[in-house]
Formats: sequence, structure tokens, C-alpha cells
Amino acid sequence: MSFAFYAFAFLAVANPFRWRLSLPEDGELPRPQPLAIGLGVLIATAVIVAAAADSILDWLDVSAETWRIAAGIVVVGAGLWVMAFPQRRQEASLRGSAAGVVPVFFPVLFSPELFVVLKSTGADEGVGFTLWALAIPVAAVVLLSSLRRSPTSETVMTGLSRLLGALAVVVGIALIISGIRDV
Amino acid sequence: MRRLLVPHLALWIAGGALIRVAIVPPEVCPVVTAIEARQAAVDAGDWLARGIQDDGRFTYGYRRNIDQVPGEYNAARHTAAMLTLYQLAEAGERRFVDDGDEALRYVLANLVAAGGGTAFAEGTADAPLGANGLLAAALATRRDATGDPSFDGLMIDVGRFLVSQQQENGSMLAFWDRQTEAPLPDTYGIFATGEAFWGLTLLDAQFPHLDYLDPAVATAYYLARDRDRIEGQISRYPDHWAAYGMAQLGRDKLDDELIANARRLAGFFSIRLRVESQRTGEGVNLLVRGWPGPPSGVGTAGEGMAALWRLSATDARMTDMRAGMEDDLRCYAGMMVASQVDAAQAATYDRPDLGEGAWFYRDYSQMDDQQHNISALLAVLPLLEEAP
Repeated sequence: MSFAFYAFAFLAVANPFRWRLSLPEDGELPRPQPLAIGLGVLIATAVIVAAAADSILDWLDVSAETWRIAAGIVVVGAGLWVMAFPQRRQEASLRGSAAGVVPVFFPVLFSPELFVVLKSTGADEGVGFTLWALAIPVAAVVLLSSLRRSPTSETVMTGLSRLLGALAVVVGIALIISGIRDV
Repeated sequence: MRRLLVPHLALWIAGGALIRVAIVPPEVCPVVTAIEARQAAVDAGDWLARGIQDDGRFTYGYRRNIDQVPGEYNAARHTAAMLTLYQLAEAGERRFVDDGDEALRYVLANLVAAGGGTAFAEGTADAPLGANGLLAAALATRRDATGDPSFDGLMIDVGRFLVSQQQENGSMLAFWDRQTEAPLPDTYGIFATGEAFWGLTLLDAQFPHLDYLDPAVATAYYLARDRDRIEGQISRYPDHWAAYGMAQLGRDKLDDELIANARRLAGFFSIRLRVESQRTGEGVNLLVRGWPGPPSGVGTAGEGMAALWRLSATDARMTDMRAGMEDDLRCYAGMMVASQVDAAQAATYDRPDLGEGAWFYRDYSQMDDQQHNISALLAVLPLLEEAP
């Protein structure tokens, strides 16, 4: 599958609008330090997951194509969930910069659907490719972090989050079909 | 904090367990050697050979739990099993030529003039296209295995019959009607077209001066473009005979459209083999994956994949699939060698001779269970003989 597909897939699955709406804020803007820490931990985790993807699949006795089917099913389920609930409820937070780990990295940024896609892309395309694709939602959430929360922006981002949820369903179906058809 | 993390972690753990059990059970692929795979094919060939009766027909099947041999028979399965015995001979197991010739007696006793040529038709039945496609394939394989030209005339006559069943769009009618002495209109066989297609490609290889190539290519396009729609399949049919035919045609005769069809077929065979490797037939796995599939079905996927793997060796448009094909084929061979009934297991049956060398699906084994897997295992041997 092409880089364009994976770029689109990571955008839909990571869903930077949903990320933005769930970040702990000071007033109307996200707190920059926890976000930076959270993104740093996310990228480090993505490197580990993508690099270890082949080994993990070997250990599980699962082929990359079969895992792609599983990833597609998870993504379809998550996409449907996001369509119904486009905004997370506010999570409890550790204090200070530790908020970058909980809740920013986990559970906000690092979701089950992102994990399965990271592993699938890592197994199929390698670490570098995976990181370039992940860079797109990461860049998007950095841009969105300068957007003040207001009733209007919240409504728009909620709608866009729902839209990306729908697109995630499409991505999931494409992953399932690809996993079924590929050798 | 615990209140925050526990629900999320519980979701990850439960979700992970669900995915593992229901979506990605382990793909279990026992490792086998070429020697073991060859022996499995020979043992299954012996099952077929032991079952040849006085009239040349094979023992059709065996239900081990009630010690029953069914009375039915099938012409296409007869010629396919005969073909398999000649394939064993071609692979170096020369004694199977005699067994194949024993089975050939039944064919020679049931020939009719049809379509300007000759066809095999049991008793008073209409002449079936598929059985004759496989008859052509069997005789061509016998010719390659023995160098004996005795049946060249019959091959050419059967080829005439096959071509006479072809329609303008490349489709092939499944039966020749004895009463009207013409092809039976609007009847198609789910496997028959692919069987005839492959037969024509092998006849072209034997007799390049005769015109079997054009009809074969016409049917190749029909299979790729129109067959599933015209013949009412809801999805593209994973036709291993078509895979054989395309591999026989080779890259020079296959344009990008036909190669795209070959790639689609490889995908079907791959998912079939991967799902099979996930089946244990026990516990929760039985609920989510069902019983291990009929050996004939698994064998067809192995045959089809092996044929396309041969094609991929010569056609760069399929090279990217080759590693995946090899993984699937090694896995296929491992599964089938491990699941074959050996002498010790067969000794516990009422009829050990109908158990040893066979593959069973829920206590029943049929001649095509052995036939397809012999063909597939023989086709995988060159891969297994390479270093993994």
C-alpha cells in the first residue's frame, strides 16, 4: 500500500482533533510541556513497536497479512466508537510534567487502534516509513495546540473528529481487504 | 490514578485477548523436509493404487467411524486421480505408471464419439467437460513421464472435444448431450472450465503445431473477465485449475490483465492456507475457526499456490509475492504431512488399508482428498529441496 494511504490512515486513526480536545489545558490552551512529553514518549514508543513488529508477530506465530486483518477490525470498531463519541471524557491527570505520561501519552495519544496500526505498518513497511506517517497527526496536533478552546472551535473539532472516525472505518475496511487479498 | 488506569488497562488486556483468540490465533506450521513430503505423497498414492478395482475405478471414499465405503462415483475425480498417479511417476516414482494405466482402463472402456473428437463418459451419462480436461492433462503427464506416444491420438481427439465445447466468449459448456449429440446449452461447471483450460494448455505443449493455444487463451480471458458474473458466482472463484493453466501458459502469453487475475488467485489461496493453519479443531478455536477444512479444499489451495509460485519464478510481475507464497507453501506442506494418517493410526481402523496414507475430514476421506494433496505436495518439493 502507498505512503499516501498510510498517511491518510494515521491521520484518521490517531485523530488529532480528538487528541486536541482531550489534552489537559491551562485556561483555553493545552499545557505545552505535558504535550511535548506525551508526543516524545509516543514517538519513542512508535519506534519500539515498529522496530519490534516482525519479532512480535513471529513470537505470536502470526503473518503480517493476518495481523493487518486484525488491525483493520480494531480500526473499524474504534472508528465507529469515535463516530458515536467524538470527544473523550476528561481524564484524571498526574500533576506537573508527569501529566505528559498520564493522561497525555496514555490513554489519550496511545490508543489500541493506533497500536495495532503501528505494529502492522512497522511489519509491512519498516520503522522510517511508520514514523513519517505518524508525523502527520503529530504535526497536526502541534498546530491545533495553538487553537484556543471556544464553543465554536470545540464544535468544529468535534465534528471533524467524528468525520475522521468515519474515515477510520474506511481505512479499517481497506486494511481488512488488503490483508485478505495479499500473500 | 488507579481508578483512571484500571479501566483502560482492562480494556487493553481484554481486547488483546479477544483479538488473539478470535482474530489472530497462531498460524501453526510444522517444519517438514522434502523427503517427508515426498513420502506423504507416495503414501497417499498407495492409498489410491490399493483402491483400484477390477474395472479400473478407484475406491471412492471411506467413513472410518462406521466402516463404510460409499457407492457413488465421479468421472472428474477419476481422471484427476489418474493424473495424480502419472504425476507421481513423473516425479520419479515410476511404479505408479502401472497404477495409472490400471485406472486408464476404465476410461478406455467408456469412450464416446463427441464434438468431432472423443470423450470419456461413464455408462450412459452425458460427456462431462471437466473430466475430459483432466483426461487430457493426465495423458499429457503420462506422455512426459514415459515418453510413450501410444495415446497421442486419443489426446488429440479429446482436445477436439474440448474445443468443440467452447463458445465465442471463451466460456465452455459443461456437458455434451448424448441424445442431441451437441453441447448442452447454458450449463457450466464450477471447476470444469478451469479443468478444460488447463488441459488445452498441456495439449498445446504436446502438440504446438495444432491449434490449442488460441482456445486456451480465449478461455483464460473468459476466466479472468466474465466467468464469475456469467456463471453466477457472488465473488471471484478461487480456481486452482485456472492457476495451473496460467502457469502452463507462462509469462509470454500472459498480459497484465491475466497477471492481475493470477495475483488475485494467489491472494485467495493465501488466506485459505493461513486460516487453515489457525485451525486446531479444539476448544474455543473450534468456535471461532471451525473444524480443520476438508483436505481436498486445502490441497486445491496448495496446488493453486504452487502453480503460481512456479509462474512467479519466471515473471517479474509476481516476484514481490514470491516470499509470501513460499511461506504459505512450506506451511501447507507441514500441515498436511502432520495430519496424514500413518500406519499406526490406521491399524486401529476396521479397514487399515483405507486409512493409511489418507487425510480425513471429520472421519471421512474421499479419493480427491488424496489426489489434490499428492499433486500439491509434489509441486512443493522443489521449494522444500531448497535451503529454507
